Amino acid sequence: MEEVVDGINRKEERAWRMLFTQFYAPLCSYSEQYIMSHEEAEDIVQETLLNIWYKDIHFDDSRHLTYYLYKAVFNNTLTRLRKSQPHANPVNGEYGIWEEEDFEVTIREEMHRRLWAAIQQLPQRRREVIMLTIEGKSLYQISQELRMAISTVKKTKACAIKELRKTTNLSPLLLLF
Amino acid sequence: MRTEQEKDIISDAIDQITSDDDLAGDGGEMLRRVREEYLHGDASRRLHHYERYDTGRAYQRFVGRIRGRHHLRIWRYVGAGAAAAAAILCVFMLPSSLWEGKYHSKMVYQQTGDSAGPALQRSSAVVRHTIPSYSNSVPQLILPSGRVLPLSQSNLQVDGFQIRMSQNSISVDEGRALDQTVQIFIPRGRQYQVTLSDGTNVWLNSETTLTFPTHFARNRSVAITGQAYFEVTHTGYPFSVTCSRGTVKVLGTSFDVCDYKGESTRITLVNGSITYATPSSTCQLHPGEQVSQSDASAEPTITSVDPRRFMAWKDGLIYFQDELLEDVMHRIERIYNVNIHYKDPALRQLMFTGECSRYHHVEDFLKLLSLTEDFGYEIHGNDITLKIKQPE
Repeated sequence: MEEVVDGINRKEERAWRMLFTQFYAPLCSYSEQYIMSHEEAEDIVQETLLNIWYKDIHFDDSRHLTYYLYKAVFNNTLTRLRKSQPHANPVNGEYGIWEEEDFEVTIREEMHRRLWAAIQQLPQRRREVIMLTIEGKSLYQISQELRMAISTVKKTKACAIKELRKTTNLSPLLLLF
Repeated sequence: MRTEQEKDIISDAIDQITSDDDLAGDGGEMLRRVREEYLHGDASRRLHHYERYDTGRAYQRFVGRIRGRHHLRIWRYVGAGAAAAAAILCVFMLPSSLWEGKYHSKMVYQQTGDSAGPALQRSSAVVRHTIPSYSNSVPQLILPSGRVLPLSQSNLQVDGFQIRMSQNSISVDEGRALDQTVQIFIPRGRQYQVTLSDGTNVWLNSETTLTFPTHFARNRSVAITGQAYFEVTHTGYPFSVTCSRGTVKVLGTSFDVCDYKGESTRITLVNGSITYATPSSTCQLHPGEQVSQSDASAEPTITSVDPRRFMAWKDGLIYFQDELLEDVMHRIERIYNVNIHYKDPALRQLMFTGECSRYHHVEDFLKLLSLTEDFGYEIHGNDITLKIKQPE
């Protein structure tokens, strides 16, 4: 991930594509929890990423990048909420500060994002099997959809989970499949 | 200015959650809560939700914006019928503001009564792209008895089920419904999104009829004439769409059906898997494939296509590639509720490729096409006459 951060700093398109793959959906989901609108959330994330592209900003490492992205999306979501509700009382004590509740929303999102990012890195077949599993499909349904034998689906899934355990530090929590 | 410490707070919290510690101390309770939720399968639901965001499309939009390339291209060349061997005659661009128009959306806010208050005030928002209507006629509901009800009110209670209308959408709630089959007809110049009682979303294009039961049991079957984009809710029971020449069967997936009278039946699969069955054959489609069938006795053929091209209409785009002007204009007639006449029949054979937003008036569209030298038009009410432009 660290070389990707370099690429992002240097505004390389390949690194930015990676940024989208790993962060776009989670950031939208994060914003949507506040703004309660799928389209608005996508707009906010798009604007946020554009701002970063045009800004002369240097991220030290992936921790810095991650922190910055959540914070920026949070702030922009807040701004958007204010704009559409000009008379709403300011609820946050201080603008752009994560209250404990917001922080909880943030880390929850980031945990899922890490798993998401790891899944995106899997080879295609494994990724497909994992994504269908997440959709709640049975081994049989997956075998139908991907036209694979059930035993192959099982094997592919096991390999995928093994790989995910290796690449994320979420291993104790990977009980979900 | 952020301190070194602050930028690490997210990662530190997650390190704690994923460790074997029992998470005592400051904020420990919250971390424990997140860990519990994660362990109890919240992750699957959340990751499934992520799939609803189209990352690829968002990235393309982003790249388009950073390169400042928000253009609209239409180029044309003269088809076999015309003598001139001219190839590409015209490539041009439009200012970005027009292009950006399709992302505009309208917001309606409703305050929620929840004062117990999380840190941020929550609100529920209804966002809809406002696709303009080019006709005053309203959709119609056709009951089994043959009775026709205009869908002009916001709420309609009919024989045990309820229809809710808003500007661009219709939703069907099953009440204590009898199992009956009803039809919704979308007139020319209009476009609607319909939510069926099992949660399936269907976008209906102009001049389209959807036939569906008010109550979905094990068997979910609907029928279509015209064009519709389906996002079928996965319930474990099959969903089928009957069109004029065959039937599409799915479990839960997204696809487009185009089956206008006098045109080929075309089904385009976006994701998942579907089968298309005619009385004489059955075929299975992969994502990105399209099956087309020109008439009932013909064999269906499968080709690879860019599915976005065939679902562009639901996002308010008009998209055509190597199409005869005649065919492009068929669509324009339906979309804008106009009638096209040709003063010079040779015009029908011109070939066009391009895309355009349907948020504009029909004249904007004609203006684009006629930027080539020998093409002019006259508009009288709903009648449009196309002609070869006379040299000045």
